[in-house]
Amino acid sequence: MSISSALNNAASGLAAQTRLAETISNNVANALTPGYARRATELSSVSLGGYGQGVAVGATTRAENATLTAERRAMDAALGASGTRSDAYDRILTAIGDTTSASSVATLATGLETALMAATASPQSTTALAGAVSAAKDLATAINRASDETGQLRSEADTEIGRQVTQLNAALHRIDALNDKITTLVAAGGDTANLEDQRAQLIDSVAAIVPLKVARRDGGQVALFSRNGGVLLEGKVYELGFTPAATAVTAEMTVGAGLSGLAQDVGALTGPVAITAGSGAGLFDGGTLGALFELRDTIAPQAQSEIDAYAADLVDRFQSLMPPGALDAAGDGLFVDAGAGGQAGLAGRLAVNAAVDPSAGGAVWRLRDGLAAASQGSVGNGATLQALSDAMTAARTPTGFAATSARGGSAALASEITSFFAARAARSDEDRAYLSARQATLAEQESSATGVDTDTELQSLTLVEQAYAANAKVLSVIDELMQLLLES
Amino acid sequence: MYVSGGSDLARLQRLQRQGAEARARMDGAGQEMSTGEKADRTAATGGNLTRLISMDRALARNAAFASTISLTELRLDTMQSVASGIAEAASALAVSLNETVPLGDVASATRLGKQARSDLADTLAKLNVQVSGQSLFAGTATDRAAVAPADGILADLDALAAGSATAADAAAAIDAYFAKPAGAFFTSGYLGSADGLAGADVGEGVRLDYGVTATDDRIVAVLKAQAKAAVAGGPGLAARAEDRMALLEAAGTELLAAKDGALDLGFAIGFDQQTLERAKAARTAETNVLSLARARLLEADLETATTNYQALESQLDAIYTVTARLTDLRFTAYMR
Repeated sequence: MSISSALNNAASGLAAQTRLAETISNNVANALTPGYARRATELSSVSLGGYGQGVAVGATTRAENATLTAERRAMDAALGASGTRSDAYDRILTAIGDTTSASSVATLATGLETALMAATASPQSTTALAGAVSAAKDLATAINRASDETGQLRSEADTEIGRQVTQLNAALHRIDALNDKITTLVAAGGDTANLEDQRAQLIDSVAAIVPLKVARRDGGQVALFSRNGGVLLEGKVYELGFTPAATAVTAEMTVGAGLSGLAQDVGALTGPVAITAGSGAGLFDGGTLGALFELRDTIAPQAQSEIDAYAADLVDRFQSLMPPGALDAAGDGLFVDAGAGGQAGLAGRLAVNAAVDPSAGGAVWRLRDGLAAASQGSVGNGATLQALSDAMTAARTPTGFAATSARGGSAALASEITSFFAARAARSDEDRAYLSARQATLAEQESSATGVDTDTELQSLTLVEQAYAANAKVLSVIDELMQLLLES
Repeated sequence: MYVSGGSDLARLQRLQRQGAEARARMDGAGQEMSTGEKADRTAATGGNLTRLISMDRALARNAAFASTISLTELRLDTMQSVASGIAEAASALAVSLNETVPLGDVASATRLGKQARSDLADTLAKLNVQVSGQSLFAGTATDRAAVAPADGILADLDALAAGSATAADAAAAIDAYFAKPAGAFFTSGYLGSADGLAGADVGEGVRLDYGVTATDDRIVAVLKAQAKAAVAGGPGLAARAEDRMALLEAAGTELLAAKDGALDLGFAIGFDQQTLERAKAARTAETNVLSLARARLLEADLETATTNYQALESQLDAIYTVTARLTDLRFTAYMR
């Protein structure tokens, strides 16, 4: 035991307290940084030959709560998927029109009904006839718009899948690179906390796309698997493959026919292997990626097929329920398919017969006198208009609808479709609200467990301050002692 | 009890979320207060919006029915007044003829013949009545007069009378003139369409066929009887007093029967009016019931909405107070 070793002890104490203060200040500075985990610097005593030799500064570690983080990440994925579905149903419902909208398909179908009734009551009135024609055009436009929106939804989903796959692959490569750096630093005994923060944030970004299981590996490395058992990162990155559609997605396009599925390069000789996605049970389902496939291949096509079936019913009503004399030369009724093709995508091509459309060279009185009429007939003739009105309201068994199986008039069918999607929108919205509350709670718990509490930090800081002062005092006393020795 | 500090970030997130939730609920309550309708329609209808949409649709259709009813009401009222006018005139002339002609007073009878001319012209004018620019008795040709002007028809009839040798010939010629379907009255006197007006839709599945044209047998019978009396007062038989008396007598008899037909037409129209009246009452009742049901379904109780709003307001107030206090309650503040 010597005075010089006492001096060294005090000096090591000062250095340790400085390091603690540094950690505390870093914690306080990042108190409100999302994703920052609290750091703690470990101290240990050093003894040599049974004598205390001061304090040693150990590694700086990140606060972790693996369970909460894993749960929160799972909830991130579920919430992301639910949000994608909920947004999609909201947009579909907005396009079809909910009950508050004056331009909804159901409201406009009722509008056509009443306009035809008004025209029947005053067949001589050009205003009433023009009103019925414009009601028919409004209905056709609303159906076109709903169809365009589902096509748009599918196109956007396809593009978004491509973007997320690219983002996921890039994140995996960066995580892989961080893995290597952390291993090197661990071997060299360096501070890996900042790199681990970065890696955790990258894992968070992947976990929202595909729900993950994170496995620890030697040397501070992590391996990533999807919840359903797909491998993403295990020593090397297993990239996902996806080719976005070359053109805007149309109603006829399905996986394999214009649309790409998900594939993974698992090192097979044949190249990337096809992976099921969007069924909920696929290897990479459960997050936003799976939900986007579901949207592109199930939700939006169902909405499209529903409005297509509605459009087909509309075309057929005014064709098969009308007397032959009321049809045009080609045998078409009030509503026609403006393009060519089957029932898929019909809603996007639905149009009002040009014979009655003044802006297409037609005349509104053909609504009263028959679509093939060359000249006006008796102006008070309401029989054809009445037949149109009857065709619109005739109760028919719906064919090809998922929303309803009950017989009904055209407006009743439209209201069933609205109700069907409104119910789905409401359900997906509730689901999202529930998951969002769960996610918020978990995120709070996680951040409570791993985040920075400035009160605690500052309390520690006062202790550090005292310890620093004590060490400094020891130093100055030893200094005085040495002075005494030198002066005597 | 184990107490952990909890991080600043968690505390901030919690306060932010609580504030956002309270604000979102306040938005809903505010909307209910200002619109008087429930903000969440799906919840209000128990997830079945079809009910709401079908109510809206039934209300819209009832409004269309109501407008058809009021239009039809005006037409039927006018038709009724025309029918009763025709029946009255026919009845009056029939009585006069049957009183006067048997007395053999040629001068008085001839005067009745002259009156019959104006009666016939009057009947024809009545048939040309229009309601808001629409001919009522012209079938679907509502933009035209139902019958040709009386002058022309009277001239045709006078010519027929003048060209006949006996009263019986003249009567037969006039019968032929009004014979369905080839008679001159149908080919040139009637200007309207052979097609009747479409029935009026006055309720779900309730269609009222009320159209009557000027070619209705009951109207033609009156016209024919009036025509026989009219030619007796016209220039065609000016020099043939016996034929005039014979025609007037026949006209008196026919008119007596024809007047019953005209009255019958009035009853038929009256029956349609009654049906319409019932439909009107039914539509009004339906509209009231539907509006009430719709209001019950969607109406937000203003008092509840206001109470909710105030409760949420004070909750938000409390959240803000807590946020402010918690921010002040930092160890940092006491270290100085």
